[in-house]
Amino acid sequence: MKGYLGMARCSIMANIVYRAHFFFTLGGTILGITLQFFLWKAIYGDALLIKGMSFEDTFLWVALSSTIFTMFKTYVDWEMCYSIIEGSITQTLIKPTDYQLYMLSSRIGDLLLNTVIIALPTIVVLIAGFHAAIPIGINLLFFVLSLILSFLLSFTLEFIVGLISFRTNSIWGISTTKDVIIMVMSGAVVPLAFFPDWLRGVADVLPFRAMYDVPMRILLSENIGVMDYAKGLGFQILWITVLVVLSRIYFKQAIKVVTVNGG
Amino acid sequence: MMSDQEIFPVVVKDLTKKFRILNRREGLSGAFKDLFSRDYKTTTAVDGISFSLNEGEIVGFVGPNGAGKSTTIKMLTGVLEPTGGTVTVNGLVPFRNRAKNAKNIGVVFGQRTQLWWDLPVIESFKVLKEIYKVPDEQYEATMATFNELVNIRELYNKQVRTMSLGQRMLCDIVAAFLHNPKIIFLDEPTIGLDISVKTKIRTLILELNRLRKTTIILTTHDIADIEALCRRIVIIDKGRIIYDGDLARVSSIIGDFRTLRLTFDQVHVPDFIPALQKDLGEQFSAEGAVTVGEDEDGWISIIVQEDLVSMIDVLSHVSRNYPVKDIKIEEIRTEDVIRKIYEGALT
Repeated sequence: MKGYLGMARCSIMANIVYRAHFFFTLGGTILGITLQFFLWKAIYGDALLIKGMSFEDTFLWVALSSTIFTMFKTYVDWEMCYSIIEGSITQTLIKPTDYQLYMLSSRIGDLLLNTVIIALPTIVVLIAGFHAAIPIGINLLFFVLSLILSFLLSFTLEFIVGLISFRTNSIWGISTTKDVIIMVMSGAVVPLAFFPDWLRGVADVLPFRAMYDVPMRILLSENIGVMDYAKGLGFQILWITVLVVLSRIYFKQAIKVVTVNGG
Repeated sequence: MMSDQEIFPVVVKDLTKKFRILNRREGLSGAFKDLFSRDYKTTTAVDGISFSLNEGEIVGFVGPNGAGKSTTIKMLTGVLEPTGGTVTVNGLVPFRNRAKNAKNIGVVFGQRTQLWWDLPVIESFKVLKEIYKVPDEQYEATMATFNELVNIRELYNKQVRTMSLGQRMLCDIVAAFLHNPKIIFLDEPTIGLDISVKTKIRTLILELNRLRKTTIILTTHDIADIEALCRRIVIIDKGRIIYDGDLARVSSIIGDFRTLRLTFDQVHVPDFIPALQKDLGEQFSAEGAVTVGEDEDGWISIIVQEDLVSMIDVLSHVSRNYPVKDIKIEEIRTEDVIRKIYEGALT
């Protein structure tokens, strides 16, 4: 355990070295949110409510979703793919550690700096600049819990995509496809309330909803209570368990095809 | 009776590794066809090798590029799964007990680093201490030893990516020894280093082996590494072991032969090499005294067996009769040692 914490500590320090990356991403995120503001403003026009959601609700939903998306972006799948292509994966495999936990702890630095340098300032901008009203109460506590679970879910999905890249030796295509599927099917780009019924049905049974829809609902819905929060968290835990088990079975398979080029 | 696995820290039997590689076609249209190609060929990187290591010995694995040295090491460290045969390291099957096996071994891949690229090297040492659960006192004592041997403390606060290759390699070797493993695998630890750093690294390896009784497997294609460190040498070529035994016997080849490398002003004469071979053969008539060959880089190499003919005689004959442009005299290369073994030099 101490070893993984040490890994996390190093990953934080190593990430600070590349601080410019974070400041540029912050700029990009705020720009993206501004675009979403005008896009949804145009969609709403004079309408007060669409699908039961006001402009303010919808904007806050998509703005927060894209902030969380940036926050969760640790590029672990890219890292795994490059480690296979250039063979540096051997350096991880010769350590007496669990590969998945090793990768997770090595991404903590990205997560933490994403949160401090990108997500928090963006939320300040949302509140101060766009006058977003975030309900404050017990929901915040559950939101943070749910967000941690969302991250684990997001990590596990990226990990699986990384494992697929062991076989394909390329990552751009699959990683981008995964991003698009997550963004759409999780209700991050367009809230699930806007989906046609059949698509809503599909989204409901897929794990992606657990990543954005659950924490966002906990944070923003005013008419649900602790029982609903618990149900949401349960849904997340269920999917994490399923995906972690799958990823570990798949890892045993994927690691066998490793040929480790060069050196 | 004790089994082999109990006596020897490393036991390898009939170890084989095959890779399946897609046959790539040429050009753009070939690349498109490759998209749907199922045309694989199988290459055998390691072809049924067997050996075992004694505790505390340093064994040199020598062979040309692509001989299968690194692949063997990757199977011993549990990174790759063998296609056939068996491996046990400290009684464990590496691929099946990768993490457990990793606790008892240290690995340095000369062309890579296990240090954090962006951080001062001391941070990497600290994390490795935690990952391998090295107790505080043992860590302090180990670092003190390293400091005595190579003054490692001077480098503590240097960012790894700003280090020279030699400094980085010293740190990587220190990192591999940090948890006091029973077996160390050094894959090309002196590759690309200058003589003074090579010497420093050899001293470090020898001292640590003496102090800790660590079993060390070293791969290299620098014969001088082997001469400085090992008593036992294993020569691998095309995935097979062609010699496993005392270095002294191989040294007799290494010592007797040297290579004279030359370039000439007029190299366009057809059959220049056979002609040169014939001329030298007549001049120095002892059998096998001189062997002429052409190297990939265009140089002509003349391997001279010095107990039969003196290098100076060959040199003066060649320079008197041929338009020599440039000259180098080198120790015999691994490839030539291997050729000599195939030609029966050890039998």
